[in-house]
Amino acid sequence: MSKWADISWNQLQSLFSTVICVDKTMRIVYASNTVLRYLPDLGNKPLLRETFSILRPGKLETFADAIGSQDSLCLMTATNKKFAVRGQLIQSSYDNNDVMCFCGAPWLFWMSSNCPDVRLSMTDFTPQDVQLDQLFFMTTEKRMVADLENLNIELTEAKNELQVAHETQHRFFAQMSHEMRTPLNGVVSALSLLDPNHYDDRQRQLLTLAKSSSRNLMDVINYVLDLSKLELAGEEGESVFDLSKLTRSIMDILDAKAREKSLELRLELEPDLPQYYRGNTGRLRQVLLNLIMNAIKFTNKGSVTIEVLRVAGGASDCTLKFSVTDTGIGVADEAKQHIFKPFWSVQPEEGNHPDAGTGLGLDIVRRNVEDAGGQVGVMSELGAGSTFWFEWPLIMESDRAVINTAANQSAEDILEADLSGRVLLVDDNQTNLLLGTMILESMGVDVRTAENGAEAVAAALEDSFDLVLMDIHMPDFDGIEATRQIRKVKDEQDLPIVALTALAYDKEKETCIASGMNGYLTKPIVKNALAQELGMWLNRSARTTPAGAVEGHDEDPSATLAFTEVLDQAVLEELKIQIGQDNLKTVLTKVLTEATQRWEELIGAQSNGDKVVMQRHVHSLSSIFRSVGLMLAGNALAKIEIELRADNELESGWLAEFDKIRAPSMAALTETLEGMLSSVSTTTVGTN
Amino acid sequence: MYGLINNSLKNMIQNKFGEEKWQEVLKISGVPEDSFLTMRSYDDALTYSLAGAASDVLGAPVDACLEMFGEFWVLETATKSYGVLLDAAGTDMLEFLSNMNALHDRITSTFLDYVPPEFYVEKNNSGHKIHYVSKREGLTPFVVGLLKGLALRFDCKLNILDQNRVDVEQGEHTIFFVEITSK
Repeated sequence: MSKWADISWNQLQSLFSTVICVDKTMRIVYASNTVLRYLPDLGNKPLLRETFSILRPGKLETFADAIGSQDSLCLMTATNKKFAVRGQLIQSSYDNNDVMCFCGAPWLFWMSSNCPDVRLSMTDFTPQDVQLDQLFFMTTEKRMVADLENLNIELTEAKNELQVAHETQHRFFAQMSHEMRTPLNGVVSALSLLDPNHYDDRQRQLLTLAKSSSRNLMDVINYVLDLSKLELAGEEGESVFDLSKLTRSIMDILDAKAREKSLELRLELEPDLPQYYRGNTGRLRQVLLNLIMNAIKFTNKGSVTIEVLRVAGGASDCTLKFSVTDTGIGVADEAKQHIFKPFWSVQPEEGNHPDAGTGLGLDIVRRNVEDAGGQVGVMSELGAGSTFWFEWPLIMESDRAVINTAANQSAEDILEADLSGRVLLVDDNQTNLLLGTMILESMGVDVRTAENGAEAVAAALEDSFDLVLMDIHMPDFDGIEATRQIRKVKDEQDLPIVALTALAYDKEKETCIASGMNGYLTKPIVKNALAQELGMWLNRSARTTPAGAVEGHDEDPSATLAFTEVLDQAVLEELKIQIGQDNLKTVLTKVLTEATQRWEELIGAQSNGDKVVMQRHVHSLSSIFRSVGLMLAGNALAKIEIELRADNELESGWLAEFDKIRAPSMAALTETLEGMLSSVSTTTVGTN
Repeated sequence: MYGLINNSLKNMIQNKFGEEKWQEVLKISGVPEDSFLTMRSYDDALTYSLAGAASDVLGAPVDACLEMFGEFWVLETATKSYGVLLDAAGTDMLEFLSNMNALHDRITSTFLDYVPPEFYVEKNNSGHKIHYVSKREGLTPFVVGLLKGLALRFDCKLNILDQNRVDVEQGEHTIFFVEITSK
């Protein structure tokens, strides 16, 4: 049905700045002033299609098309690319002839993008046209986005600055705590060595006061250190652990304290609990230790029972509820709401306890539990006892989970065993050296001491030891540097080195391991923990030899580089875990074959000057070597690859130079593979 | 006023006098935030506080500060942010002034609740009369800065011969008697 405009020509011109009329032959018979300003040559009635490219509607060739497109948006760009219009077609009449009349305005966005040099005027847009408003809005919106982006940057920077300040503050606290703890260790240990029976009553009272005060001070310092560790921990490493062994090892540590007070220490694990879990073992252990120690402290008669139940979970994860129930003094109702807050402790009138402590242990418990995603609480009746409980989410691991059995060996087992061996104890603090020596000698171990890194290196290289206990923070020549020096001569299997320090941060642990240390022990020295560590390293026959490692490898006269320098055993260990020993053997066989073949082809490409082929082989060899732990060779080739990619000239003789790394690398890998094959054949003989 | 104005004032002080002066202005003004969102409407009192504090910090009368701000607004903020619109509003100063109302009409359709000023131009014997009518008070010096900024933009010579205030119930109505000549 046709539509005829029922408005006057003047009204039309007032509503639309851009008016173009075409007759039935689709020739332009009228154009408004705005159109003529940009397209002045419309006097000879050109065809619409000669003047404009029509984007919308899709078909606008005939007058009938134009009539049929009246409800569509019409977008046209001038063929000279200097003008474009947007609007709508309506039926009208001009000079008493039927025309189709385009009514609209310059197409602002198209022109801004495609011919920004053409300056449109506000008069090109009638007031009702929203195009200018849209442009204004879009510009403003861009500013708004820029505002938000700037704000975001400012906030991020402020957050980072705050984080740095926060970490600096905690590092300072940690450092100060460490500095205070070292001399205080001496005080606490020395006081504990004094025999009260040698003194009169007054002196005994003073001794008790000195012991209690120094322990409280140690608690406060430990609290600050723990807090700083918690704040700085970030993504602390998780590990797989055996729940039963973990809880028993804690019981072992505290059993003596319980016996001192004639308390019964009981452990009740829910039957059928899975054995292995993945979680933050260190923190879980700390929480349990704190709660059980508290229970023993505030119980004078009866028992302390540790109970573990599974309260929630699915196929792979679960929440365990740990409860520590005592028959001690209990907690008053009004105290329950404060008990997990820092610096709150049992008041003598409330609990009538002579050694209430600093009230910081439960705050650390709460922080650790909440950090692990759990919750903590207490149920208690004054005078009847308390149950402190917490829930701890964990991932369950299958029985095949890799467990370091030595690490889970109970302290009691080790202490009962006959320890023997020779230990080098390194510390720059005389007190620590004295106490450490006393503890080690009491366990039947022969001790030699060194007071700094240089002395430690000299001793480790000239003498024979089963283990080095290495302090990290020493002036001038620290434990990390000393370890690096020792590792140049003696590898991790020849001489285990265990870090000994008070600052137990993940980064520090990483640095220790990266420098070549085997383990990590936190000061002050706790006999049971030390016993566990000694049990791992002094019992040499019990130590496991990494898969494929071959004894006596560094005696190979043909290799200029030591076995461990060219081959990273950890990579092979990881591969073994991932794909199994049989598959690893297949992989290593293939690697040796392919690497040999590519090496020969690389030599050929070098002599032909074919850099493309060289680059391909260098890249492949680099990747192959690194994937099986031949890091030195892989990294050396990666550097060569960079040079080749940059089209830089390689030094003449680089192949021969690289071969000094490649040959011992290949030898190490061959040796490893042979070791694996021979161990299989031995097993086969044995089983037959 | 919208955050656009406050941001512009902040930018002017930062660009012309440095970040320290801006921080001083902010401190003296008692305005709590350092960042303003372009499209958010802030209380007018906040803008006046900033202008007053700028006067204290820079040791210049408020009127001089507002005039400087008017000039900065045209030459920096509006030119950088709304260059296309300014271009469309006129190729010479008189054409631009004649289109000022139309421009503000369109701003009103984007910035909701915005109460724009009105500008209209009359020809008189010696030159032109520019009427500035606003619901707000105290911004006439800002308009002086705008006019001076526009003269720089269109590279013409502006001579403000006189300015009269007309009594109004709310805000202010100022008539500028100006001569505009090409350089």
